[in-house]
Amino acid sequence: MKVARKTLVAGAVLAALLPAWGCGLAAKGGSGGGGGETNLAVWHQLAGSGNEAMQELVDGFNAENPDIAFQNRVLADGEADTVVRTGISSNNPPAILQFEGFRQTEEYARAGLLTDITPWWEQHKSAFSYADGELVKQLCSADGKVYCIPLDVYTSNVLYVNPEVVSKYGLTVPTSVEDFKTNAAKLKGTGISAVSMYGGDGWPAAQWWQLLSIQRCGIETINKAAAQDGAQWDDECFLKAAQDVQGLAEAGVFPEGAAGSDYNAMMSLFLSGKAAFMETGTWFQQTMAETPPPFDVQVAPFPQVDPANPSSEQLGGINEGFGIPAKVGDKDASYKFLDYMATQKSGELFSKASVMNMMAGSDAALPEDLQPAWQQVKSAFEGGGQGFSTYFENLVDPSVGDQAMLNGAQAVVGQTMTAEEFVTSLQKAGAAAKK
Amino acid sequence: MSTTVEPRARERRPTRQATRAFLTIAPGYFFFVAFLLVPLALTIALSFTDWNGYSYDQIGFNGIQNYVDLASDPVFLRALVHNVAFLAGSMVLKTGLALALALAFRRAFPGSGLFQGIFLIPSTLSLVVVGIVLKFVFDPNNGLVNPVLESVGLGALAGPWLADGSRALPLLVLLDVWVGFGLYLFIFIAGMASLPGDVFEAARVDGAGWWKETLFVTIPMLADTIKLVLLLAAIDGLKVFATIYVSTGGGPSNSTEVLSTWAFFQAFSGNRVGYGSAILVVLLVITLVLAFFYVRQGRADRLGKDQRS
Repeated sequence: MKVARKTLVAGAVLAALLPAWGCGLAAKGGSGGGGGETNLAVWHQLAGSGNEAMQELVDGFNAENPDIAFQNRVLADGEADTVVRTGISSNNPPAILQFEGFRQTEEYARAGLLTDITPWWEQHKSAFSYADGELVKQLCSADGKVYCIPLDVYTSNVLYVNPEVVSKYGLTVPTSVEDFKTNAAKLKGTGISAVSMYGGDGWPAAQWWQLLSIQRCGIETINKAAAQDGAQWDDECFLKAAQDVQGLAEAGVFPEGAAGSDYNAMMSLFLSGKAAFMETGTWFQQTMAETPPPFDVQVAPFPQVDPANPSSEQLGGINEGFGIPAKVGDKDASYKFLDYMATQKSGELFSKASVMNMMAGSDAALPEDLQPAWQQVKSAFEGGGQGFSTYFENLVDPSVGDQAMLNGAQAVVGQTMTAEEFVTSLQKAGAAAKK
Repeated sequence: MSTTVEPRARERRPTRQATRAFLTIAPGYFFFVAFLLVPLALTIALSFTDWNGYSYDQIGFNGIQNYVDLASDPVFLRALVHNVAFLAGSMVLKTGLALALALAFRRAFPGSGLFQGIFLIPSTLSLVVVGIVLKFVFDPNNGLVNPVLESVGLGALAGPWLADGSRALPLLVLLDVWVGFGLYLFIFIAGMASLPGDVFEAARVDGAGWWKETLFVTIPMLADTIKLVLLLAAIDGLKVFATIYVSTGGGPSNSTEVLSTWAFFQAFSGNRVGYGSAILVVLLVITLVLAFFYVRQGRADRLGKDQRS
């Protein structure tokens, strides 16, 4: 019995040590100064035709560099957070990784998980549009160093229109926010929603409030509120924007169950002809390019709170950047891939796939229906000031963004929280996070 | 006059047997220790840190601060209540439904074998698939349930199922029951098959009908099995994650949040791996408490039986 017990204990210790030994071996790593083996892959979040363009890019790179073999991996929206985090921390990270910028760039950089590509950037930034703009700096910089490059750029200031529904029910394409209520009144009892919006993922509902906040408050005030320095989330302009959303919900602009379901259901509702309009970012063009919708979708600018004094500031911009994880073994291969990406030719690949991008000169290759959105983007970048605000949750701690902001907006749309309660809880979370 | 040969022979046989036994269980033992006990120990250790999950050299000890924060976290407390709802629903509904069906299947009828198989099917389904299908089926505008309700004159019941906090949680509890009860049905059927037939014979001879036989013979004899199923159902109710994560994500507005989904959010979206670990440790403690009561009750029952015999 004693022998049996000793054998069992010895086995347990061995079983516990084996994984630790394996981890240690992995930590010692393969070749190269980074300390880890290189998984020659590019991980990204471009869906639909954007993913196809990336595959074409990878194939082109591999053809020109037969001694290097890159693979393309697209991360689904729901898994991106966890996969990027584990990938970037692992000892076998991808050679190139697309991650959310702004706050995440800072956090990853300060944790030593990203490669400082400042020298490369200084040499190549002329290949990018608006490379010296504030948005690019915020996206990719931390403590004066550059850690990523911008690629895909979006705007959420667009409204997708089903002209068949508009025509059938005598609706008007909204130019003011109040027009949504007029359209909703006309559609009452028809089983058709004025706007397809499902807030189950949080961000679709939050985007409405963010779009209206940009118009009412301006990006400068938004940045101050995010920093809790000079503005607060319960200031009058943010409250008014929340009241706008509450008013739209109460007027029946959004479909039944708007606080639930998800973005896929939102797209399904619009594409099945059960909603007249849908607000989402221009990434939707990639979905349409991959799977053409059953009707001729039109694109209009997102309406204004005050059409007489329109705001040219946009929501969206560049939200993710492509960088090199610090633990990559063969950084030469990574830099070669960045060299290949940072060209007009590569940019045109993405443009043709309906992905607006930051490669200088590639906008001419954008499809006709995306040109108006590109003009909006250009106006935002060239109009002075910051031009673009990233999605607000990217500017703040997750307890403020993901939790208070997204959940709160979802609750306002679901009419389980008032506008006042929303901004109050948001400010409370913002203040607590600052401590 | 003892010999010196016998003791040595006695020592050699147990050692060989012990080694053989160890080699047989070694693979399972290895996986149990390496992939269950070690991660468990690390989770407990991490629950006393402020780690944000980015880099291993940023792990800092923060004592019991995470546990102190839990006490004032309204979402944690809400998630705990939701877990209790799942636990109660799981224990009562799964066990009750499985036992009732098992009792019904005691008397074989045409097709009873087929029905037993049908009831087991939900247990074999991927929980992720179940959650996704649930979202489609209960979509208020493009789903199946609302049109069906309207077509049979129950349109008043139609509504925003998963978007309404008051409907979403009960719906998810019922889904959890539907997915899990089949396995417990088979546990009860197996338990009943092992009951001695002469006791039932004696009951019938004494004039006991089906109801009295069930109430006074079958159920008391199944007591150990019922307790086991209750424990398993309770654990099921506590560890629920996949269906909620995929269908509602814990929403709308945390109305379907449970401890596992809240821990997941904190660790992977909230950059608070230490805090998320603390939530999971609380879940572990609750599970261990339930298991402790089960084991203690089992010992008390065995002691009672020994004393009676």
